Amino acid sequence: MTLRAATLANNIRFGLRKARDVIETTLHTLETHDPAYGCVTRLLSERALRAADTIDARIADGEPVGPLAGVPFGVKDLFDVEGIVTTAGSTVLRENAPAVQDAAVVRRLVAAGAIPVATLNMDEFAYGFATENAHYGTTRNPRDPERLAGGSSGGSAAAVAAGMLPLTLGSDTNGSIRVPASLCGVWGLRPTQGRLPLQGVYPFAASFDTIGPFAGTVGDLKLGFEAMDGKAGGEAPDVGALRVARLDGWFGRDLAPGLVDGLDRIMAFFSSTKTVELPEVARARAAAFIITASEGGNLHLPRLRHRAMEYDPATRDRLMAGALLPASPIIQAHRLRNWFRTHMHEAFRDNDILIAPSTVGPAPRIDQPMITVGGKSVSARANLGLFTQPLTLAGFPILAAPLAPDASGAGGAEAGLPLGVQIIAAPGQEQALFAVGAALERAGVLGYPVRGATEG
Amino acid sequence: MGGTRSEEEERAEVLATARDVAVMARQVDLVISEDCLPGVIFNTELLRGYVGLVDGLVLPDDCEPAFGYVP
Repeated sequence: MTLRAATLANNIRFGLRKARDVIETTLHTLETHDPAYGCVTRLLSERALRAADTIDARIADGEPVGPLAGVPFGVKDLFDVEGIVTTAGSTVLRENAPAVQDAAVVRRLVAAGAIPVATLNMDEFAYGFATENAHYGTTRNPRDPERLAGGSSGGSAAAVAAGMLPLTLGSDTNGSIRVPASLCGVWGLRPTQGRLPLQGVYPFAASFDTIGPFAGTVGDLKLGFEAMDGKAGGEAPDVGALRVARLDGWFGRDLAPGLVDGLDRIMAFFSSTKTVELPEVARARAAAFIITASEGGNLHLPRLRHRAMEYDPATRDRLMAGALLPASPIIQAHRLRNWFRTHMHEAFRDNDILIAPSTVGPAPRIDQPMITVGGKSVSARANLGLFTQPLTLAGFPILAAPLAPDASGAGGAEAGLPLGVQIIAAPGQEQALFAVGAALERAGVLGYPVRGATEG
Repeated sequence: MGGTRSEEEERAEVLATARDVAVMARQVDLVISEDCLPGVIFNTELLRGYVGLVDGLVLPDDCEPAFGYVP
């Protein structure tokens, strides 16, 4: 199974392993293990093996290779990969021409030595939190295959959780990195809105679309992000000096007991009892819903007029309803976004880091895709973003971090399933997020074991 | 009664939404087939709830839309 990305790259760079051996092993693992989970939509075997041979030849010639030399990675099926059609999890686009080049961030990862090996499953057109795809199947959670992986970047999160890949890419419009990272027990990053280039990424709702990495450790996540960002991160802040507060109110309701304990452990680590209550969070979430539905609906309206029945029914009906929204509430939602952003900046005047849960609890069962909110059982597909959507509106960078497993055995049937938190910083402060994540990982508060990721 | 809607009231509400959906769909030249209509009505009612929430916040006149375009 896959080692940490950092370990793999070092082993290859220093001649302890051949890139070809790593890629052959990874492709074999994906072929033999993935049928149980349904993460992979296409293997890129020929290209990957060719790239591995190139890396090995460069090392043999003493040429420099990047910090991710020979590291295999997978991409959510909405990133352009040269030579194949970008499906965005749909069959509607299958007649499109193949991509003429890789997406910008894929090119940056390749320049750093990483090798794309697979495209990965997602909710159709990224509209969902479940990765239940009518065309490509449901991605199962490697921690319990009877449960959802979350979405819409479910294939990306699950491939890391299963130990099949050390690094994957996803997109996050309303929580599509943070929700599956939480449910699968891996690390994910939604960077500052607009920081990473979206060239070659199939859009969903342009106002919120953001891309980021998944990994089994925060160190690998940082390595992947810096390659995607095209530069090494700046100096990390002194974690002990950071002012940390927990989001309360909306973000403190309906939580599974394990999440409450985990949030308490994080706050205890920082010796902080401070809480912050953001205003009008329900309206912020509503604004995110409206902007997403209207932009998604507008994007697909030309195709919905003629090819509606080719869409996944659940996606289609939501897009159609979004396309019908009148202008006034959309503009009001954008004004509310401006207002909410001001309040988020105010929250960061007295704080450097805010902590919140990612979801209300662990992954729902596939045969009972419901979660409890406000005492009512509601659809998981539509509501898993309860805590991620409002923060989407602000566009601040957010680290999705898995809580360390609860060793007490408490929690009944759901004991041992991953739970995740959001660690939020001010715009551009991704280095603070990585520093906080690493400190909490070292302290045993964060980090969920991924097969292979703790080796080396 | 106490806030509980009768089946007849619920049916009337769905029919009213269906009429609204038909009007809005004509405005954007979209034909919604019978197969899609129940799902579109459900999602339209869901979005109406969110529109109500967003419209319920009185914002100052100088609060501009947060469109992302920077020339």
